[in-house]
Amino acid sequence: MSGNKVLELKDISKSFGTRKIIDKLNLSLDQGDILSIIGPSGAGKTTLLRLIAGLESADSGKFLHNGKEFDPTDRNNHLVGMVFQDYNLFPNLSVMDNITLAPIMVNKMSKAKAEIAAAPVLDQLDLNKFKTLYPYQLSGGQKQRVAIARALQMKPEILCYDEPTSALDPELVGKVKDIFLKLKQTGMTQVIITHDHQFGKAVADKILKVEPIEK
Amino acid sequence: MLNYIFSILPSLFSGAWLTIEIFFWTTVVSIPLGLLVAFGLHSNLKLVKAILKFYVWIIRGTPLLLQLIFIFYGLPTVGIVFPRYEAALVAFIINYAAYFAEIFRGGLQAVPVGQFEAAQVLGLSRWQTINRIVRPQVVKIVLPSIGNELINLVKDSSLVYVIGLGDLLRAGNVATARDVSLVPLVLVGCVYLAMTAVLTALLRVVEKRSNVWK
Repeated sequence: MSGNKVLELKDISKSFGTRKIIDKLNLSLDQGDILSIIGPSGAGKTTLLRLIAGLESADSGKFLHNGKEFDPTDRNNHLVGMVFQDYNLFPNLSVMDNITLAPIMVNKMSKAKAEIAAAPVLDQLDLNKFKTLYPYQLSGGQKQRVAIARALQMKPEILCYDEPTSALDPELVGKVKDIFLKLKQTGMTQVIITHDHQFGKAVADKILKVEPIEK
Repeated sequence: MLNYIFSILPSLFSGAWLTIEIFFWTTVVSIPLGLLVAFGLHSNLKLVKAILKFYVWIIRGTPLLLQLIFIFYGLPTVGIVFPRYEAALVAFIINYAAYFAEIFRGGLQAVPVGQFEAAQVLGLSRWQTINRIVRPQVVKIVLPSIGNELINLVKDSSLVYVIGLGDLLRAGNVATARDVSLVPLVLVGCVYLAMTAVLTALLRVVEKRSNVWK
């Protein structure tokens, strides 16, 4: 896989109105890389993550996957998964249904097949005993693992996390780190926003420091 | 006494039947219509939005009684004639759809943006998102308000009295005037209570079923 960049950003810029958030950013990630994006709030960390996840569109610049240009905002590419800061689990669905919804609806998998496909991830993330529960019955750490499991079911090549440690008890932070490293071993490329420099440095292969753009 | 009660019950029941009919048709037409209006109020089409806003403003800002009289007694003066029953249905449907639209609009706004975004990143289409994620959440949010409106509707239906329809209230009033007795009106009250009690019980079952998640 050498030479193949899972994700490259070329001269990506983004403004909201007259406020420039990201200015000609370049970035490249190899398969299995963990990138920590650190910086003060208002520096554009979340915007950058949302651009990669296709929740915002860039004003200019290119996104490349294995050297080929792609459009992150296209709902039909499932290259990028996302774990939101407050997880955004679907409250009306059980843990199992949260995880299997996209495979069933988007990939037209049968319910039975989707549940079989979800089993290893449920095991790996220690979610088996929660699969019939609803999100409101879970703790923050459990919700986060469900969000990770849900994203993994669409087989993304890149997984983004918005502030994954901000809402967790200190003893859970180590557990999250283990999850990141396990996923890395499977070849997952991961992008993490964090305020926590120590944590960012401990898990990352690459660090991107962002600063607010001066007027 | 008991004989008297039994003698007027048939006319009360036939009046109650009309009340139930008005309730039924208003409910089944104005709820979907209200949902459509709510989506219209959410849309990007400026003209549609303006018209619907105007409609909701007029209907919620004037009495239902005026709307009933306007449609049945007023419109014929400009050549638009509805028979009594149809006039009542049109007035109730137009009126309740506006209230339901406002309820649904509030419900739609209460679904966090993050729900739409999570669905988008997972690759769900807009329709799939609405159907599997948004609709169940909106239904749960609006259920208590919809229930209130439905109970109001049972009682509001008595307003058709003013355009001469033989509903439950009219049946009781006629009997009271004819027999100079308080009993028919007390019975009318009991029948309304029974109808709202049954409705309340039904609504409670529906709400309970939607309480599986929070």
